[in-house]
Amino acid sequence: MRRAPWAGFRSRLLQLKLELAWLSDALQDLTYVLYFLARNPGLSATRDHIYILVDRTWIAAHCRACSAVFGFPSETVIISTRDALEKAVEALTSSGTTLVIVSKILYLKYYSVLQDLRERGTLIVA
Amino acid sequence: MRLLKQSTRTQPRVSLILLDWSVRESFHLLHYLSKQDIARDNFEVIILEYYSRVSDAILPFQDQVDTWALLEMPERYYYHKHLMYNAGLVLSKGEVCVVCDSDAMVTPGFIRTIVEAFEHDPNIVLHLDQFRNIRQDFYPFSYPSFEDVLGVGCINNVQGKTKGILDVEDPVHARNYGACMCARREDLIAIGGADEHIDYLGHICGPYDMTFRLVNHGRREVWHESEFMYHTWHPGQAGVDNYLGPHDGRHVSTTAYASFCSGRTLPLLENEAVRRLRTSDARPADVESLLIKPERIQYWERTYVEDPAKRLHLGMENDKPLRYCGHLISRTHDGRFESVLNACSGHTSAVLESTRQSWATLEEAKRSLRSRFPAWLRCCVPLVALYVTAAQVAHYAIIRLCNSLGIARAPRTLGRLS
Repeated sequence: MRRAPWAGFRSRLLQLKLELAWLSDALQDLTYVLYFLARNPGLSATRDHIYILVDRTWIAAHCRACSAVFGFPSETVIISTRDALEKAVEALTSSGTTLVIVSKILYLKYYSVLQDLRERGTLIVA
Repeated sequence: MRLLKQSTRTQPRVSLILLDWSVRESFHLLHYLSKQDIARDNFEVIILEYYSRVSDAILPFQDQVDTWALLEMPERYYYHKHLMYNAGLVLSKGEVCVVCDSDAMVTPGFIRTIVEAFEHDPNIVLHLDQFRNIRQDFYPFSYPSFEDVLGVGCINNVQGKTKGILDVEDPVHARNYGACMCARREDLIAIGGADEHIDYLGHICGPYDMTFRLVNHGRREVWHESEFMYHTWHPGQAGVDNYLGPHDGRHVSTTAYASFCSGRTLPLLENEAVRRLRTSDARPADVESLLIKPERIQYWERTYVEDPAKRLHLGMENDKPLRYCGHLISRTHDGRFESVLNACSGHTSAVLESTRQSWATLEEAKRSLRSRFPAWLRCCVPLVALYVTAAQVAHYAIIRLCNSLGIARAPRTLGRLS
């Protein structure tokens, strides 16, 4: 039987709505967290070693803009697979990076990879 | 709550909590529990019925049931599985509580595997995934062999392991978090048991709410790589026509996601009986009467759930944290308002704890949070979010258009989470 052209439209619309809500929330939360961290004197000693891991180009661009505006020297890396995240975490651990900020969406997908960093207290989920 | 049968086992190591809300047609798990290769005193079986039905499906396996409780909730209330988890937690005596499907098959080594996993490392929350077979000729349940369930009709068998166990890209959706979850009873009490928030009413719920908060509590989530459950087809799978709380489009609760990402360990709405166990020396028998509190369950009525207009009231109680200026504001037990940055770090880190503050009123909390951020930032954040989401819509629409014209391929999925 031929599938109606509108079949699945509602479900797609719901997914798109959820997707946009997540994106909007993620952007807002990340902005406030980055602002807080940029103004937090307790973190001044670690400022040269801050990495931001996100899974989308849009969020990465936003984080880079925030870093520039807030005067928050950090490096933003886009991670799209578990394998890439594992490699990044390994590199960050061996380089002695003291703070890793990861977006909530990325954390939900790969939290098992990030568990060690979190237990060591060097991870912030924003 | 009425107890039809109460466990006489004094020190079981494992308590199995099996649920029904007058829907189960088969409890064949009980048959497989009678074939375990470990002494029967090592585990107890607790059956909880949400309403008042004494299920005929249990009668053939009555000897395997240690505790059989009817919560006797009036029919006008919709089912809330998390209340049943909490009742099971209060009634259980085992070191490890197991919440699992009661209509699945398990191998003779099922209980032994769980016991051994916790002996090896007690600081875990253990999950077992489930093979699923969609052959309809196994229904009504006809006791097929394990080989049959793994054979023709099995939708997730990849060389003897479930597809979910092998999936490292999207485990939250690929694995069955509701199939079997095992955690130490004292850990479950320490995190306040299952969350009885309205968002978990109906089909969008599951033990993963507790798993996520147990991980926030410092426990490690472990999936067993060689022990599985085996499920055969029956009508009404996947919550067809059930009420669905907020979810991500693939039936995983977004409220559970939010609690996970905020580092929260306690539930949004804690069961009073579990709270007493957590905060005092009360014995389970002393708190059983506190399990169901009428003022807590008023929004669970079917009239609210089935009427879209009334449904708007759902989830609008004050027990859900309010997002404001990048913070979460929640009400504390003493009626004050507590704000904390909406982020989480390791449970040993004090960076974010320094942002936790308490206020007498909600207005006071909002005013103080507003003053921490410059006006330009507060104005820019929603504008940027709006711009980026609009751009994302445009990007998606262009990709779809190109795809329909045969110019480019559509994205694999709409979103990483959906």
